[in-house]
Amino acid sequence: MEEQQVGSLHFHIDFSQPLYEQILDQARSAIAKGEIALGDKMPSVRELAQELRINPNTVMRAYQELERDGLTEKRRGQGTYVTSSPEHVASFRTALAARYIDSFMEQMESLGLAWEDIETYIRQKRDTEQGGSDL
Amino acid sequence: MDSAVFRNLVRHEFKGKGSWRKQSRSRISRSWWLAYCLIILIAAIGTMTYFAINEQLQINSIWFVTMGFPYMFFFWGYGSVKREWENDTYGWWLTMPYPRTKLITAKWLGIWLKLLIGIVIVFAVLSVYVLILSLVLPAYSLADVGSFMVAGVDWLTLVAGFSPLIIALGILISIVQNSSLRPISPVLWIVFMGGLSLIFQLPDVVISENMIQQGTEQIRAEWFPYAWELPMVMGISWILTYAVLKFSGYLLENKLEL
Amino acid sequence: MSTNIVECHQITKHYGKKKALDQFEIAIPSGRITGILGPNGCGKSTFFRMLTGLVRPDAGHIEVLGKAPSWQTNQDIAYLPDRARWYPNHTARAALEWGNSFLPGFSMERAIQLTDYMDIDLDAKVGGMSRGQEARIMLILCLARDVQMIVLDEPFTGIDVISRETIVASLIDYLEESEQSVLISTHDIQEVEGLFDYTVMMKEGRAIWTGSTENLRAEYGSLRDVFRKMYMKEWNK
Repeated sequence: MEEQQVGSLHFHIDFSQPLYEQILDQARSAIAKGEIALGDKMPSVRELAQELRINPNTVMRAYQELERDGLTEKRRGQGTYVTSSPEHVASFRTALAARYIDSFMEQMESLGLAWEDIETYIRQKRDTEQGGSDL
Repeated sequence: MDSAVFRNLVRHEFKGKGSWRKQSRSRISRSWWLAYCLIILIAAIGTMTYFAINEQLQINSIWFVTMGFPYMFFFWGYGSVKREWENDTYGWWLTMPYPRTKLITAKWLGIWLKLLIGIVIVFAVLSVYVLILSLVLPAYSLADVGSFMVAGVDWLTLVAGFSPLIIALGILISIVQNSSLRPISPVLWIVFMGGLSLIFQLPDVVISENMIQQGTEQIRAEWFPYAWELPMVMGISWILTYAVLKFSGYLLENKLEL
Repeated sequence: MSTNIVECHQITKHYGKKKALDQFEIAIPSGRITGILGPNGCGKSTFFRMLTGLVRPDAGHIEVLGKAPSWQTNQDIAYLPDRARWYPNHTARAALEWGNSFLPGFSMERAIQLTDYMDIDLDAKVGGMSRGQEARIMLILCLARDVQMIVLDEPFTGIDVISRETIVASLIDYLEESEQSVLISTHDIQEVEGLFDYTVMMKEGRAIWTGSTENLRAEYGSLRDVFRKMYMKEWNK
């Protein structure tokens, strides 16, 4: 698996996983993290397909999903742009965070952990990480 | 299929498409090849001219140069199909969206046209050669030239008239070799090669009397020295040609073995 | 349209004693880029030749674009034969003119764009070209056509890396613009496995796995790994 840079986006494509989800996830997080700035032009479907050597239909489907997320918008005849509204990105980030938390909580609950336990684990984790970086 | 497509097919077959086998020979050997041809040609013209100057040339026997034409045309037909396989282009040829009988007929017609043009050129060149001889050498008269040309027309129309069948049989044997009938191809080779020698039996009149003895016995070549059956035989050969092409198309359509 | 472009039922084809196809069953949906994968001699080419009416099955039923294969169905199929060559005396231009005269749906304008993109000199003779350049011209003859179905038999075999990359790149461009169904057979999936959205794995004349490539990835991992595992025996021979 190698990292590929397309415009200001980075992709790691792993051919042993479904491609559509990888492209979608990696593009989403690039936008959420601000790796590609608000209002910037996304690489064209063709460019991305060429660089990653994948079926353009797969890229197209991922782009359609990004548009539904409200993260990008198509401008007629010009291509796809990252939304220029920080609210859209923020609300998407909140929604995504909520989804991650949900799945995290689900897993924790499946271990039979209660709220307090989880809080303790998180605090411990934060302490070791901060301690580590302080050293 | 509209006629424009068919015309293009014939034109495509008419033009040389080349051969990868010959391509792989080096350039040098190709120029040697050319040199050999030139040497043989010069030697032939030289010999003829030498005998002519010594007044020993029976000019009608010059037509013997063309005696190999029927075999040559057979191999043109044979080679035109074989080359599609040799060149690995048969996949393109046979998946063209047209009935395979049409594809075969276009090949056949392309070769026949090429052959007619060839015959006319050979006739013209040899006639001019003999005309020059007659003008330069006192031993030959213009009447000899006329006789020479008549004999040529007699012989070459015979060749041209039977060539449709000859080409078609060449095509057929090549197709048989790529079909499920492959086991019978040795039999066909023997029959066709033997049959081709018939064409030399038929015009006995033309060859033995008009061509050879004429120079000495001063018999003038006559128009149409053949028996009345000949046009009929030729007509039958054309019907056979049609049948052979149809059958070739059928083999390509149904019995191909790739 | 969600019908199948190709359907085979119980197709069997012998060459002498060898079975090229053995009760071969398949249905390929339209509008997809289908990879027909398998080692040499697994029956891929026989299957493609059957689609284009070059060979006929000994037994079984085959339909392409809803009809039995014939010269008529070839009007709607652009086919690159396996191990094909082009006429050595033709120039690139003559090859394109051949396509323009005989292949329905052929666009000369597009073909010339493609030669430009693929860096082919129109006046060069095929006889003097590299295998890779020749392969590019033959691919152009297929990609310059507006037809329902494109069938490419081993388009990446025996050519140089640059030609291979050029061909993959122009295929991607082509796929982006068109809605056609594409069938590509290959025994070497390196660098092209991302192209296929539908996969057929063949072995010894049978289809051993058929389905959406994404499902295959989710189920078994990368095509390359699947390939290696499934055909281990063939490769060790």
